Amino acid sequence: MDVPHEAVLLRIFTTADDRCGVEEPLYLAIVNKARDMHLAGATVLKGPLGFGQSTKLHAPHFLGDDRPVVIEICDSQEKIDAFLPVLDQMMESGLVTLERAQVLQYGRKRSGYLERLKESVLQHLHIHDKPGPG
Amino acid sequence: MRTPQEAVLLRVFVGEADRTEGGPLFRMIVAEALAAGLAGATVLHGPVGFGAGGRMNSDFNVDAPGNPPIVIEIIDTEDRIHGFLPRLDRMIGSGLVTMEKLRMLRCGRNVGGG
Repeated sequence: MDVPHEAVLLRIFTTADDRCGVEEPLYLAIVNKARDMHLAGATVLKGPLGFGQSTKLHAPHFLGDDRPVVIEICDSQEKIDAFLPVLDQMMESGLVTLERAQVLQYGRKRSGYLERLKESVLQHLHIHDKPGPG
Repeated sequence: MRTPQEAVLLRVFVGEADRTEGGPLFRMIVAEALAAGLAGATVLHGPVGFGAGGRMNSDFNVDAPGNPPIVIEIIDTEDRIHGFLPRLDRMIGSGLVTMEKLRMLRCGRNVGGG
């Protein structure tokens, strides 16, 4: 699986109290669905305070956790477009934003990682294979 | 699901401990956005960051105590965001504010088509 350089960042604004069905938190259901549909990834951010269309303040309270939650998903335009109708069926009502994103890296390509690892090990063992300055 | 419309995302970067006369700054900004009738505001809280002062702020490191970062995100139409900027300017002494264009839509079973 790969993500094209020109991708789309989808952000879904919901709250921790929102449910999908009876019990499952909506944000968890969305992340699981994104995984089932082989989207590139999903990140959930939780905030301490917010408000939306209802103008009701969302914050933690004694009866539950009504904090705002943002779910971020970055993938190709086609995959995001295919995900939107599914999302539409899962949510009751919520704000969704779309923005263009340039993907610089996705996955486990860690350039120079082995080189850095070797350096770190040599340093740890107090072995220096390079001549020092002077 | 409605068709997406052009909108602007305003992001305000402040510290959790920043205060105004009325209380914590981020709460006052959310209250101001609510009073201005903006579409919504979301506060996000991060564990560590630094800003123009160059001082590291964290909520878990004893060497960098105090003022962990807060981002307030407000999404609305360009006109309404621009209308809010002078009100925001009066509240924050210094701080980073960014704006970006994006598309927004309302999603969900209870949202009419159109």
